[in-house]
Amino acid sequence: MKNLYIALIAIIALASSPEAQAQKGEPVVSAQLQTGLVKLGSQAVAQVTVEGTTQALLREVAPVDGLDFVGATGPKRSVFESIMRGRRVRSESLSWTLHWRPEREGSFEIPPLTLEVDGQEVQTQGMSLRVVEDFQGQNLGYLEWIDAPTKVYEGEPFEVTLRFGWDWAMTRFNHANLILPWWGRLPGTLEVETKPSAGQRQLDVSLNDSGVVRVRELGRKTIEERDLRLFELKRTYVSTRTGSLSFPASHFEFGRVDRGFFESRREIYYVAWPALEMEIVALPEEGRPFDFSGGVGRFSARSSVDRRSLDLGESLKLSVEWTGTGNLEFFEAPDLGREDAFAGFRTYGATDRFSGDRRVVVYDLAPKNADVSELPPVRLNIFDPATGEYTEVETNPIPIRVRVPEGLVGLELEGAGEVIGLDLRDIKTTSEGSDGAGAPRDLMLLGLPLATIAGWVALRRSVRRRGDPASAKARRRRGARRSLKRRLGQAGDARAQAEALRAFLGDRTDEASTAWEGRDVTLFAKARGEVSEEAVSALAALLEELDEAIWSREGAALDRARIMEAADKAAGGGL
Amino acid sequence: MILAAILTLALTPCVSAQAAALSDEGAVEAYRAGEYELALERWGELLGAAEPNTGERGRLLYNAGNAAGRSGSWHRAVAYYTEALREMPRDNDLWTNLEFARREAGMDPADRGDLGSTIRRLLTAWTEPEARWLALGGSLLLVVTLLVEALRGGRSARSGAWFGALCAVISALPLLWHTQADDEAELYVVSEKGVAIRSEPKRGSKVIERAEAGSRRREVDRLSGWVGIETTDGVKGWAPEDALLTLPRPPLESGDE
Repeated sequence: MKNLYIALIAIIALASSPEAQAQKGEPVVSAQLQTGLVKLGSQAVAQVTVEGTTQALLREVAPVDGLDFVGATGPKRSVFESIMRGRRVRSESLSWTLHWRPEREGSFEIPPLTLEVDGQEVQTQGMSLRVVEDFQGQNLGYLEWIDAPTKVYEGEPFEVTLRFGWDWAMTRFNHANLILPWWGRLPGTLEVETKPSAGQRQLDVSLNDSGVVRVRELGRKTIEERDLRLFELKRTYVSTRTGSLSFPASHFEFGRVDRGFFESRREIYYVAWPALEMEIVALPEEGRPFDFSGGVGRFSARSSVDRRSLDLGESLKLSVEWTGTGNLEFFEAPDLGREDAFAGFRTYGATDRFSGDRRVVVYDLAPKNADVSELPPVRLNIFDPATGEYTEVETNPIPIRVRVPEGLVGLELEGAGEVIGLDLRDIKTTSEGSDGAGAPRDLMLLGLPLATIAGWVALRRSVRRRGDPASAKARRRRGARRSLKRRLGQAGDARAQAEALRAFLGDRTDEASTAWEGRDVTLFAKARGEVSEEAVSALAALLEELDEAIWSREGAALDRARIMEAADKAAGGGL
Repeated sequence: MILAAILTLALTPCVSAQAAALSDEGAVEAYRAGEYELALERWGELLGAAEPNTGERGRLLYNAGNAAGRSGSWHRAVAYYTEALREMPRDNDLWTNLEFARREAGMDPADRGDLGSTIRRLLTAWTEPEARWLALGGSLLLVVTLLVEALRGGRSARSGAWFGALCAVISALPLLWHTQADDEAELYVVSEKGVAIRSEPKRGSKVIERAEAGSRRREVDRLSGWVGIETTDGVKGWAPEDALLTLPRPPLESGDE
């Protein structure tokens, strides 16, 4: 309890001392290497710090000959707050970590780094680095390129083999890391997938600090009187363009790493191998065949067929297999449909397969006739880098028998194999048109519309003179007969028929139907003076007859047709 | 003597028809034998005597187009087919061959499939007699609708009359098109590289315009080896006869003679 009081008093006193209170001033920029001396193969690490601001950018790092700039991580932001003499003081800082990997031994000057701090350009101080060879690593370790070619042809696959390891006695070593700056960064090359050799132990080792690569363990080997535990990394590439191809210096990091709970113990060594240069040369134009397949290497070819005896009309499968060292994956397989030697066959297509060390193309072929007696050799024009000349590899011819099945004689299509396309349609030997002699003449075609319009004007004027044909009165008059017919159809006795007839007469004379109750038709007609006598007499007789029927005992309905006839006569007679 | 004259007059059409049939057979034989120039010549002779609107002229033009195409003169084939369209506007074979020949000649399709081409094809899908019947039908519809309007009046009848008038106008359009097409130039530029129109009928004279292959021009004059044609500015120019193909049309029977 006494100690607690003492600590509390000390903190208060420290916080209230005038020296402890920092003043916020200009940002301070600094750069510092973690160590000024590194082994060849290891990385040089520098820390760049900006204090007093959080607005800073690290500009591009200037290249240094012999130092491969690996990259920068950050910025990492730190904020500290403290209370000094009753005032709260806040300090901020940004930091970056930069990595270089030396490519050779010697002294290097890393030029000042440029940063943008609060919108202003600020430079750090320069840094000095000394790189020394790891002599102990050279004695304990081993790294070597095996049979690396110095000259390859464009399109020619080439293999790079890297052997590495350490002293066989160093059984405690448990760490291996290949530092290959060229890995995945070889411009103008394509990596060819190869099958791992069977029966060899494979294991994964670290690659460029972050990745993993599978290598082959060669076991215990003696090289130049050194007893070594060896590993091998093998890769195959195909160059796609001419020029020089460089593999920068490679390093092998090995040793022992013990990772404890509180601390790690590292015993690391490095061994280096200098940069490698390779020349990619173009294929010669001289002697290049027109049907050069693009194949570069030493190939051998063989063919097989799924059956040797077949009927005309059937197809067979011709398998052609190319093996050897070369760009098997990339050459263009022969198109047998365009080969003169295969003119006697119809090509239905081909399937192409590549499986690491062989390329197999299966052609589907059908003989065009029964005269075919063999499958001709399949030729492939390639370039042989060993001789520096173009050459041809071909398969052996395969004898076949084509039989004509019964009933198929003469079935071979005439024109088979010819190109199908559009053409003119054939000439016509008979006329298909109709005789146009009866067509209307100009006079009719011109006269009819004119006469129509003139007639329409005249007729319209004439009709309108008697009134508007679309008026309600005219429409009622026109619809009187239709209305009468409907009413008569519904009428069941003479009374209803009489009412229907009166309604008809009212519609025709534009009066109410009641106006015709008890009206003397003859007097009415005389007064109108435009109704024919025959119509008037027929109508008068019908009305009289209807009255009689109404007042008789039966009251039976009259013949409907007779009423319609009288109505038509009245309408036609001018009513 | 009189009897002989009567017999001669009576038999003349029969003899000429027989001769034409023989000549057509000869042209077909020549065509089948691959003698396309001979076939073209014979069908060309028959064309002069073929009556319009009977289908026969269209057939001869079509066959002549085939013969020209087979002999490699695709621009000439296009000219024959185009002219044949007047007689057989809905013939599928003719349209197929026309488009084929135009493609071979490096020309755009006659029917581009756009709205303008569709309307044009609709208007030209009728022979001249068909267009006349169509116009008559439209006129009769107008008669009926106007009659109803005059007698009955009212809004419906008026609308019907307007509809009838519209139908009459539309049905008359193909005939109007034919009337206008009668005035179309009968000269086709069949030289593959087009032709230079010169100010005078001689080789060294000034070129005043170029007519593209496949284009049509109006003939205004003719001299030995030269044809006087109308330029786009309406000026008379001269082009060599062998670069042009003239397909004279027999006068249409308006029936008003």
